[in-house]
Amino acid sequence: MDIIEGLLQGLEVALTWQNLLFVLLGVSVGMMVGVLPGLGPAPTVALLIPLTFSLEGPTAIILLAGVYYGAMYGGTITSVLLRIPGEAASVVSTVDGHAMARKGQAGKALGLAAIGSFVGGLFATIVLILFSPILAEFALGFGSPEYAVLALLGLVLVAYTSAGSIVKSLIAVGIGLLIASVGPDPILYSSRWSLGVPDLIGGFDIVAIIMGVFGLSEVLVNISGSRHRQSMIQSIGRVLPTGRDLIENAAPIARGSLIGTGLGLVPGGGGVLASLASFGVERRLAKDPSLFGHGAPQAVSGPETANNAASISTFIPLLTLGFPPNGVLAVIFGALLIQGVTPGPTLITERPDIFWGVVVSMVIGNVVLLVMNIPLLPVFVRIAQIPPAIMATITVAILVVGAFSINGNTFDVGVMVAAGLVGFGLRRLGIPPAPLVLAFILGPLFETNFRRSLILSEGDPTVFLSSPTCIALVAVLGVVALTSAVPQIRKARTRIESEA
Amino acid sequence: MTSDDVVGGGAPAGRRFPRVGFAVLTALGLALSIAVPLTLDVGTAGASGPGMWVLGAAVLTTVLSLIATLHPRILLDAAETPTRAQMRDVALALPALLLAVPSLLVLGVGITTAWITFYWLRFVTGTSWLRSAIAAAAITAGILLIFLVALDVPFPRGSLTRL
Repeated sequence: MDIIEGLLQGLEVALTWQNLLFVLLGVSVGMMVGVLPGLGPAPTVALLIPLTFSLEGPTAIILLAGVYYGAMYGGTITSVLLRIPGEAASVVSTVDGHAMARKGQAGKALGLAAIGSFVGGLFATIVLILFSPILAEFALGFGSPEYAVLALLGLVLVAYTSAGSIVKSLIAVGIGLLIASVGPDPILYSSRWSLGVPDLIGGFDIVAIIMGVFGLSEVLVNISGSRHRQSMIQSIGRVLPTGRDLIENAAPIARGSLIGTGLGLVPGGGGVLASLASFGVERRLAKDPSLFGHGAPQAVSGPETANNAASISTFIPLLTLGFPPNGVLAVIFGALLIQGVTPGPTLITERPDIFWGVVVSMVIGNVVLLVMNIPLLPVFVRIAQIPPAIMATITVAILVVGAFSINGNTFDVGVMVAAGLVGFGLRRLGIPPAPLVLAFILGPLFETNFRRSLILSEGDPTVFLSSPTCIALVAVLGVVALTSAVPQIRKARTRIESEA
Repeated sequence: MTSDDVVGGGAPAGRRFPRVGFAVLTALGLALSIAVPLTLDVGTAGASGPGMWVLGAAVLTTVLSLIATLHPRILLDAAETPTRAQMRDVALALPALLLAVPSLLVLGVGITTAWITFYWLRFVTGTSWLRSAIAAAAITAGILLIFLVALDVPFPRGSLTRL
């Protein structure tokens, strides 16, 4: 199937009334999530998983993907108007975006961000369309050693690029691997740690763990904040940027598209890293860097373009290698598994309806967001006023009912609650939840391929250097461990996430 | 200057929570590292048993937790000792979370959702009685509409209420 054929099939899937409705629903929920401080895209996508059980595969992923990139648009609104980042990737805009709002240019900031996000999203989707089939075909040649090294590299990269200490991120990886080891041994199929509990024979349910670690722990961490509320709405002013604004911001938007698309591919990357990198580049290239921090439009248009581009390109490793590069994509990975679909290089050929349907829906979703963003700005500003107490209560109720709906089994509710309490404790200790969830999801893949490689090579560890791909991946692993740039990224990310 | 100063961490009292937390993690990891070879076949590199992977993960977690416990810079990084108010709020939330499981079995999904939302609004978030009752009714109705009507999820009925 060539690209044109794929796109035609994607159009057929994405343009059904049901999928159009779910694109609209996904991006609307995403916008709201972005607008509401405290509830990020990962917990929201986790929260929505039970709602996708009865949906067709493409529809489920179209909905969840829409929430993710929709949140990138929405996060800007509160950053600019209230100086409260709706989600972490929009923190950069709290400085110059809010400074523009104070000068009466809130509309200009939001308009530039919306147009930049649209361009960045479109660019990343084109890259996704052009390069995914090539990468998937290349990955078809992967054997167990390649997958084992890729999984290790992914987990290490996620740990290195997560906020906070590397040691703590690696502890999260260790805990995730341990939780994933409960259940059947993937090679010998014997039971591990079931302790005579029938519900544990199959291991912990992926959705219950994700909902607990991302959803419930988020509610518990923010529990005290839900008693208070701050409000400081600014006037929006003219939303549509002028032709001159667009010309002045064309280069930052182009650079943001490139940076975001590139950094979205990096495990642990995504919106935060992309917006941060774009801000740094724009400041370095600015004619007058002293304007940065005082309402420079380039400091909004570039980073906002980058974070949306990253949220799209981050789907490339998931849909081609079966590798979720960040927490949100890990949740979407789980949603695909529930649909009976194993993400990986065969996805494009075996389930073209999902791959091409989701890709085309991203284009539609970005158009919807652009159209919706500008006229509906006042509505989203009002949504930002919903009391956190109500949001927290709705979240808890959906978590309980959603966990119960997984198998109609209260054991999953107990697992969700336990995972939430463990997640809360770990977060208070400074241990990030995303590496834990990624390790939980990648654990079986990593273990199966690691052990299978060693069995086939009769215990010879050089099997992990047996092909050019393995050697290249091990070399990247070495570079990551040695590079001095990573600590700088980590420090900046820690600062940004703590501000968020 | 102490290592705490370097990190910008709090007073010694602020170190107690992460130190205890990481000590617990280390102890759990150590217990697992000892228990795995006793309960699961570890095997060899060429013929690994079900316990090999678990042992590797347990040893990794133990060693890293110990490193974190012994290094104040790592120990305090991003760690936050919960305030008394936060602990009170979490303690208030616990009954709702812990009673959710038996409540779903006995009272069914509808009544459980209603009392959890009411309890959360009134006691966890401090909303007024009247607002809590109205909001709980609205949230419960909305959630039941989505799960029972729109998604047609076949929830088991409560043993007592048959709802």
